[in-house]
Amino acid sequence: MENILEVKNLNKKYPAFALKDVSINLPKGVIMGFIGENGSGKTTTIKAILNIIKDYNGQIKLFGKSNTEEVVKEDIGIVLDDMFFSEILLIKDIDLIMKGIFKNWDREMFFQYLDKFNLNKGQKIKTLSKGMKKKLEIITAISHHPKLLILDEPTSGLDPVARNEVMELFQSFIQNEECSIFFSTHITTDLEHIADYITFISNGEIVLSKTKDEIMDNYGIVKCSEKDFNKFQKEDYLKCRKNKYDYDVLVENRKEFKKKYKELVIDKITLEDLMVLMIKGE
Amino acid sequence: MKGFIVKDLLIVKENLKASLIILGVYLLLFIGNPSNLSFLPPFMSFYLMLSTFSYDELNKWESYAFSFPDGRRNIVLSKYISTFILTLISYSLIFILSIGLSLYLHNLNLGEMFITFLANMASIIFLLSIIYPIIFKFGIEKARIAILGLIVGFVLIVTFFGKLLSEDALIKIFNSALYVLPFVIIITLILSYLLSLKIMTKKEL
Repeated sequence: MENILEVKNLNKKYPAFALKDVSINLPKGVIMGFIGENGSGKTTTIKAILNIIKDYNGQIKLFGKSNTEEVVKEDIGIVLDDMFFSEILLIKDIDLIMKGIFKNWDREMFFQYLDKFNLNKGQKIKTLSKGMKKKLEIITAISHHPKLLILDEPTSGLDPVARNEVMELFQSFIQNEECSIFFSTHITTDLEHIADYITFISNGEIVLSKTKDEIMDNYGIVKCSEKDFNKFQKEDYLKCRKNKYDYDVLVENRKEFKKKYKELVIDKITLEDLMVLMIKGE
Repeated sequence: MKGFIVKDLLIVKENLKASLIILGVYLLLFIGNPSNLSFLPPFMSFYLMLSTFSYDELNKWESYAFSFPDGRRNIVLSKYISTFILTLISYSLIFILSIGLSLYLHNLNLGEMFITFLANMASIIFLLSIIYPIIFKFGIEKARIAILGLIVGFVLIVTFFGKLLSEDALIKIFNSALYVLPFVIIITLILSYLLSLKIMTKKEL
């Protein structure tokens, strides 16, 4: 399958933090959730992909071309955390500006989406609520028909209703276009419905990158007593975490585990539990 | 790039609405002496253009625009072109207004007025040429002190020479400088643009 985005051995050093050998492959037509705790390197990775930071080692390709080639940017739509147009501008000003930036800017589509999501084009950006502003950012990002959407925490800080509307906006976009989405978030529940792939970064390193189905079909979580836990061998599980009264144990292959420990209850994993156990577990 | 210029001019438009009172007061204060009106355009170009940097910084426009096609170059080039457009518009408007007022007050001296405006415009382009690379390097918030220092220094030097030399000598110097001045300004402007571009191409956010 053709890759829309390829990151190979990306390394970037800061005094207190480093990206270590980050590699990502995003095939055409899929949605990849890029998850990790705050400060794990999600935004830094995205900034490197977009060439906002430059001084790194490694190779990044977009649509088969180097990310330093300006032409690739015509086909990318972005929503970055807290980065947007000046807030004293009006919503309709975005149309005037963007049609002078992107060759494929589709003003009809832009205004249609504004109507659909009840955004008043005569309003100043600064008068919008956080959720409304996020919607505007996403509408702006998709209105030049990009082949790749890169979204950095598009749902953080939003209430559940606004989050839901934002997800709807993605879904309506995905239905119309054959497009890939690279979506960073620490709100993992957002991904359980829409992501095809999950890439998990922790402390600057990729610790897991698989299809969501692979994870959901195979990974499991066992809640057990200390007595049960002591029966396990190290190779039976990936990570474990001691709680006040019991243990949470992350298992890579539910079926194998069930064969061995028939008496124990093993549940499907949620991305949230996966994230907590991968980071906090031993 | 057109989009970047449109963005700056739209910010200026919005900001101008907020500055109308200051402009009105200024106009009232200096309406008796039209040649003083020549201080209005530099105020407008300076204040309004610098405010576009402030608004950009507030909403992290640079990081956002870096991911647009040719974003880094366009951020720089558009600032210079927007400044040029704004300076040209504000000077033309005030020049016409001054001529009108002078005709009304019967004290029109077109030659003197033209030279005042030209010298004034040259100073502002020169100052902005020095300031822009500083802003691109350090950001508007940090660059403010440098800007203030530059303006104070510039005014002090001009005043110092004004006091030191007689009016005749000044006019003589000015007349001979008149032919060199455009070249100095253009070269400064080009160097300034190239330096800004270099800073921006390397910038990490």
